Amino acid sequence: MSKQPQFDNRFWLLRIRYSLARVSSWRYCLPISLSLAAGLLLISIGYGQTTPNPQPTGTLADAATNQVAVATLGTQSADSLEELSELEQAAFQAAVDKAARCVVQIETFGGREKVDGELVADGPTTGTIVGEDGWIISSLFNFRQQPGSILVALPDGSRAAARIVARDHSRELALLKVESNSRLPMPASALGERVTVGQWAIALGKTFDSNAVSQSVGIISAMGRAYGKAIQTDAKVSPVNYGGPLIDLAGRVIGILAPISTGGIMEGDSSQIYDSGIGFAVPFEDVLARLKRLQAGEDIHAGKLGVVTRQQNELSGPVRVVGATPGSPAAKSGVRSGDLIVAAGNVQVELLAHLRHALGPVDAGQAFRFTVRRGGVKLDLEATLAKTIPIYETRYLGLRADVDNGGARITYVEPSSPATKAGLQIGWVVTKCSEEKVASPRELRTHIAIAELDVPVKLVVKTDTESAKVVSLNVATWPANIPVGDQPSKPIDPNVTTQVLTLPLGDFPNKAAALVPSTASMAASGLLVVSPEPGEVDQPKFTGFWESFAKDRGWIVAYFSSANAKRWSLEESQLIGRVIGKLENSYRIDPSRTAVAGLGAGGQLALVGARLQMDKIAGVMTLAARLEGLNWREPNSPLQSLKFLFAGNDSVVEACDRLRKLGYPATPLPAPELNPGKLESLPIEQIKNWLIGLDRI
Amino acid sequence: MMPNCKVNMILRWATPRAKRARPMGGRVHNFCFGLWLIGWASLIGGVPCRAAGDQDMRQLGSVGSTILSVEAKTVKIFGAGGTAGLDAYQSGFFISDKGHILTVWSTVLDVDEVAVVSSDGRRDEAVVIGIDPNLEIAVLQTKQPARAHFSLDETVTANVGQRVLAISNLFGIATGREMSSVQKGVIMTRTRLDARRGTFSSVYQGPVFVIDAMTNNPGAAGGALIDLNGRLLGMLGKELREARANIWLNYAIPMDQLTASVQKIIDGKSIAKTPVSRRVADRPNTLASLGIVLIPDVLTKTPPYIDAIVPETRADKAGLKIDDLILFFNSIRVTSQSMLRDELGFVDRGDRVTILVQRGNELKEFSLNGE
Repeated sequence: MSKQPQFDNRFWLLRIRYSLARVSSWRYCLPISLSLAAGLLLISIGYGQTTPNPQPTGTLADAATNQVAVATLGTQSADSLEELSELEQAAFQAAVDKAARCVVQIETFGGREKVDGELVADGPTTGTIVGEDGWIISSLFNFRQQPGSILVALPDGSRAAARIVARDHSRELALLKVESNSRLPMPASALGERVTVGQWAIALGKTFDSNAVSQSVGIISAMGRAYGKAIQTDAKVSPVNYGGPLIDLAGRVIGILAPISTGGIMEGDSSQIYDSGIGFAVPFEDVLARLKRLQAGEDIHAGKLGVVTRQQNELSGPVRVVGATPGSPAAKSGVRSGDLIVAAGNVQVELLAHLRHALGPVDAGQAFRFTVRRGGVKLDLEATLAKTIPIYETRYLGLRADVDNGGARITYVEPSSPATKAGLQIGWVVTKCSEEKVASPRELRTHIAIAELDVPVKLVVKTDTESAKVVSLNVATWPANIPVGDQPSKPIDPNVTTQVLTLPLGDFPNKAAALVPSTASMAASGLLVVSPEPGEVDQPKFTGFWESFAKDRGWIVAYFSSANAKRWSLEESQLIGRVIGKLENSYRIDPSRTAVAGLGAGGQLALVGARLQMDKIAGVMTLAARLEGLNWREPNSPLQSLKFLFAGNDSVVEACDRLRKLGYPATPLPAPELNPGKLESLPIEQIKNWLIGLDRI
Repeated sequence: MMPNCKVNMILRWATPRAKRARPMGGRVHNFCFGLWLIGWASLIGGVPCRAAGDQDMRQLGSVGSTILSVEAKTVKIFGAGGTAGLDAYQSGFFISDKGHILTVWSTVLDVDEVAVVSSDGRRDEAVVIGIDPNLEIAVLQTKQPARAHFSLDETVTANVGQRVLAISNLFGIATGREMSSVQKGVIMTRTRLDARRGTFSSVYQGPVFVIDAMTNNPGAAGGALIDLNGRLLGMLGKELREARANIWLNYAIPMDQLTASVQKIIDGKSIAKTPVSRRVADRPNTLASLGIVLIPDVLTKTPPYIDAIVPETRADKAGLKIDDLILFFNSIRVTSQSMLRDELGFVDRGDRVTILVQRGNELKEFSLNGE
């Protein structure tokens, strides 16, 4: 209490009452707050003149009780509104004045003009002093152009050269050091104080003026955002104050403003959601806890575990481990396929999201403890999280399998593949893989996907003569070449017919249709979704072109056309998911035989759409698409993998190289004469063979 | 994905004509923000009043009465536009009992008469009686006198951190008898819109209040910025993207910058456009005239590192050295070689200039005498 500015008790009540008004009107809570306010006013009868103790922070609960006191206060005060706003303003000002000296303006010189295709503003930015001897924390966002020189305007008005000592990539922060003879003023921190949702928060920045801070007043909206890494506020947070402090009403630093990527919360570039009522600050506590490491020049990265779970949707559970990415911290921790993760850190894990929240604030190099249940026994495991998980390359045996009586019956063995070399034969049934039971081709696929490359895999197979033959073989990585066309496992049925269905797309005005073979109603089908060049699609020509493939191979071939005849819009990338969803409703679609193809400008759309649907598709191909700006960053992972085929001019080779570095099987198909507007110019045989080869194990 | 879907739906509804590229998330949230602010205002204003009903409660609710009194002074303006990404609506407010309205000068006013709708639903025709091309403001006059108006003599100025209300018809959401939208915020800072090197794409170059309410939206321009007592502080400016931070700026032009010009227009005087661009000096400085050779300019923003100093030149005499990085020229921050060349040209060779360089970890300022 002693740290508070000198205001009488009454002031706190007024302030808190306003807090309530703001908290309760938050967006959609209006009706609730109305009834709350009315209810409180009723309770207020008999409350009398009692005033509660002043509170440093106004929680919703505090505010609720204090609202009552304010109601009574009115009878004592002559002109409460004027006084209220004056007191309130004085409180904001006192808080700002206290912290303002610790906020510095940062100027950068030189560097790249554009980052990720966006022009970088070269105006001044903001930093917050965290060490008397010249340590300043700021947002990484302010240095993304990699400036040649950095200056800091110090509180005494002088300028000093600064250098970036270390970066916290997990929290988007940069630590600067300036050489200064004078000792810099340190901000008060709200360390140890409980920051509560609903309390006032003021965001300070120095972009506009090196002598005065800009201020935006709001409240704390939520804690533990962005997987436990950020405080959320409705004060306006934007490039004008990234790097500045978020302070409380006592002028103490609560956090450092930063454009935190919210991951699953919002799509898009984090810097694009500025000033939106959703702003973030890294808890000052977390900054200070890492200060020593940063001062020593150690960069901080988000810690990665590398555990592979069956679920990809983070709201699903329980969290069953399928395996660990070879070489990852999870693999070293001893976690095994079949384990159930039940706790992590100090929290219970029921959904994948719980695990992600526990992992979020942990840095690479730090220990992460988690508990698994294995066969009824709880085991505590520990992993030292890593900055990166080793690049994963898609695994390959060279066979195809079908369900058979609680196993995977081999239906095809590819020439000169690990499967052939080990002598596997068509008709054999795989029942076990590395001591784990194999009940379906899908299970076999999963086991092979996480197998180590240099450790032989032991398959137990049932042959014509033996019921449990053990075959040992080395798993290879997925071959880059297009497979030579293998014959369909069943003879082509001349009675198969096709029909064309129009697909309704809900609120999208686009047209979509699918060519469906009659086999689709009986067995699982492959699915190819085509995003063509913008404009009308000649449907008879399209269906005619794909008909034999659909019939012979049991694939559904669907397309959708653009709403605008000249271009695709980014939001239309959602259509790929829509089309797949529509067809899933009516047919059994095999995800290991589902692919997206983009022609010309539709190629970029296919890539964007595929990223959104990684759990439902196995491959993406683009034909004569512009790939120079390909910006795929997600590395390959065992159970969310894709295969790529890029056909077109020379740029396809470079694009494939980039994806291979991320571990993906990417195949270039140089075809300079390819015309995305003319179906007959497509290298159809190679395309078909690539599609057919997608579901190999 | 879901947030995006919602965003798009709201966007389609709110701004059927696609405007220029902008941060969508921010925009839409701004819009929702506006909506809940209206709710907020009604809660603050209305609820305690009605629930308690005694005199003291009315005092706490007087932000509501402030808003009501100011609403009567503001208008919704409808004019030309509606195609090619241009909005056909904006905001304005009465500044005299003779029906004078202050608003921004825009393409909305490109018609003989614009429709002006007050918060009581009264529709009036108004004509543009004059403009100030430097401030990009226009004064309109309605045929009927105004029922309530701000007085230009009673405007006040605001302090940084002060709580304010912005009243405007953002997104054109209010029609007919509906009141304009009220947003609350604080004055974030007072700064200058600075024309140098196109930092701002605004004709107006003077001081502005930056506010932390999301006013930078279609239709908000011309709205009133008031204090909690209903006194006029400024007029919301046109949509503007700020170049220092590359964001959309929420700002208002202080009334003290506008009053004289508005009075001139009301008095029937015309205001000429004054050129704002800086002139190249008669005998401009060049790198060669100073004796500085920079490293090859190969990037769009090559830093101005000194590669050589010609002996016996002004730079040499002043003490500049090889490998110095020029950061400021005459206190103007230079972030690239091309910018330095431009800035040199604005200063005559006869004038004394200062250059601040970074030498290693040190900053050093040098003064170069005129020729």
